[in-house]
Amino acid sequence: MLMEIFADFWYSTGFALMEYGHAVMLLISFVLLYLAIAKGFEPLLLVPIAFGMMLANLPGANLMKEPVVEIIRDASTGELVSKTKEYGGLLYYLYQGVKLGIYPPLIFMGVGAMTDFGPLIANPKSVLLGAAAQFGIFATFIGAILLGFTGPEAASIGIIGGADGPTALYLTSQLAPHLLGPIAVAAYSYMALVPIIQPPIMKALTTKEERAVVMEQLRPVSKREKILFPIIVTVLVVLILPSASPLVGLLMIGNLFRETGLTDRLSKTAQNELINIVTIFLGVTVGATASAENFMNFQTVSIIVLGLVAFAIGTAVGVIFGKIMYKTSGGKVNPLIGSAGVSAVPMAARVSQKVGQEANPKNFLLMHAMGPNVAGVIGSAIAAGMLLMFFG
Amino acid sequence: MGNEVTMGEALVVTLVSMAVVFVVLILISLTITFLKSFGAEKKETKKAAPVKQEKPVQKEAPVMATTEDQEDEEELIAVITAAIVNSLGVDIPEINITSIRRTPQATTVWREMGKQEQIMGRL
Repeated sequence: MLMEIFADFWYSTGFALMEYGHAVMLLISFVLLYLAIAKGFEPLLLVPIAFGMMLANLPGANLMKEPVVEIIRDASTGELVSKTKEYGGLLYYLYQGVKLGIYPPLIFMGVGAMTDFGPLIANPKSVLLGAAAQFGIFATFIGAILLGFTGPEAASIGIIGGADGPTALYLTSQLAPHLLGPIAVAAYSYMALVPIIQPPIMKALTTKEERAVVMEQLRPVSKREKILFPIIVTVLVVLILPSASPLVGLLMIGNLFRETGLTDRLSKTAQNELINIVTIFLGVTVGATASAENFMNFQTVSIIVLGLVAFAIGTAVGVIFGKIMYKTSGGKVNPLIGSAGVSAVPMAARVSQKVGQEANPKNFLLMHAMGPNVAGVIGSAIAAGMLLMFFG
Repeated sequence: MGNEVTMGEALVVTLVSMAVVFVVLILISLTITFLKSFGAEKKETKKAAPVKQEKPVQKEAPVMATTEDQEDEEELIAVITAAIVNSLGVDIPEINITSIRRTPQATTVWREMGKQEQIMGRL
C-alpha cells in the first residue's frame, strides 16, 4: 500500500517524466542564464527568455499546455457551443500576446517613447544609410531559401539582420511561430554581440583617413518639427504599406507622447512600466516556445549561423553606403555611421562612436550615428511589412 | 506567395522589398527636408535679449596660472551654461552669457543640507 503511494508519487514527479530532450533543453537554458547574469548579455531579455525556456522544459509542469475545447450541442437551445474541457497552462495564455502579435508593437511604443528622432530630422540624408543596412535581411533571406527553408521561415530568419528584437519576433510570430525560440535567442544574442561583430567589419572596409573624418555639428531641431515628424511618417508609411502599420503606428504614437510635452505621463508609462511588463511576458513566453522538438535540430544551428551572416552583411552594406556618401559629399560624411543603420538602438551608434574615436580622439560621431540608427528601426519595420505582405 | 519559394521568386521579393524600403525612406527624408522650412518655429525675440546670469563665481585672479585650472574653468562654464539653458528651456544659440559671478553664501551649509534632505524625502 505504502509502496504504491510512493510509486504513484514518483511517477507524477518531473524526474520520472524527464526525457533526454528535456535535459538538454534545461542545460541550454542554464547556459543562457549564465551568459545573461554572469556575462551581462542583454540580461533584461535573456533572463526572462532563458527562465521561460527552463519552465517550459520542466516535465510535468505543462505550463504551455493548450486548453482542450469541445464542441457540444446545448441541451436547451440546440445550438452548437464550444466548451472548455480543460484549461491551458499559465504560459499558454500569456503566449497569446505573442501569437496574436500584441506584445511586439507595445514594446515598439516604448521604443518610440525612448527615441529621439532629432538627429534624423537634422540630417535627413542619413535615412539612406538606415535603408542600406536592410540588405542584410534580404541577403540572409536568399541564403535561407538556398538552405531549404520555406518562404515564411526564410523571411523570419532574414529579419534577424534587422537587429531589432520586437520586429523579428513580430514577423516570426506571424509567419513561422515554430521558430520563435531559436530566432529570439539568435536575435538577442547577436544584438548583445554587436560591439564584437561590427568593429572588425567596419575597420576592414574603411581607411584610417575615412574613419577620422569629423562631421559638422547637427543643426538644432525645433519642437514643432519633432511633433510633426511622427504624425507625417505614420500617415505616409501606413498609406503606402498597411502591413507595417502595427509596428510603425505604435512606434510613432510612443514618439508623439514623448514630443508633445503635454503627455509626459503617457510617455513615461510607455517607456518604463509598460515596456517592462510586456518584456517580461514576451521574454518568458518566447523562451517557453523553445521545446526540445522545436529547438534541438539542425534548423536551429542554421538559424544561428544565418543570423550572424545577416548582421555582418547589414553592417557591411551600411558601411559601403557610408563610403559612397563620403565620396559624394566630398569627404564630409564619416562612413562609420553607416554601420549604425542596422537598428540595434543605441548599441550600434555607440559602436560607430567608439571606432571613430579610436581613429581620431576628437571625433564625436554618436549623434550623427543616431540618425541612421533610428532610420534603421523604421527601415526594418518597413522590410518586415513587405515580407508580411508577401508571405502573410 | 506560397510556402515553397524558388530562387527567382526570392530575388523578386528582395528587389521589390528593398526598392520599397528605399522609396519610403527617401520619401520620409524629403518630407523632413520640407518640414525644415515649414516647421521651423519663428525665432522669438528672446534671442536678442542677453540673459544675464547673476549666479556664481568670483574669479580670484584675472589670469589663470595653469592650463589645468583653465580647463576646469571652461568645464564649469559649460556646466553652468547647460544648467541655465535647461532651466530656461531655450536653445544654446538663443542666450548669451556675459558674466558669471559667485554670490556670497546666504545660508549656512547645515541649513542648506537640511533643506535638500527635506526635498529629497518628498520626491
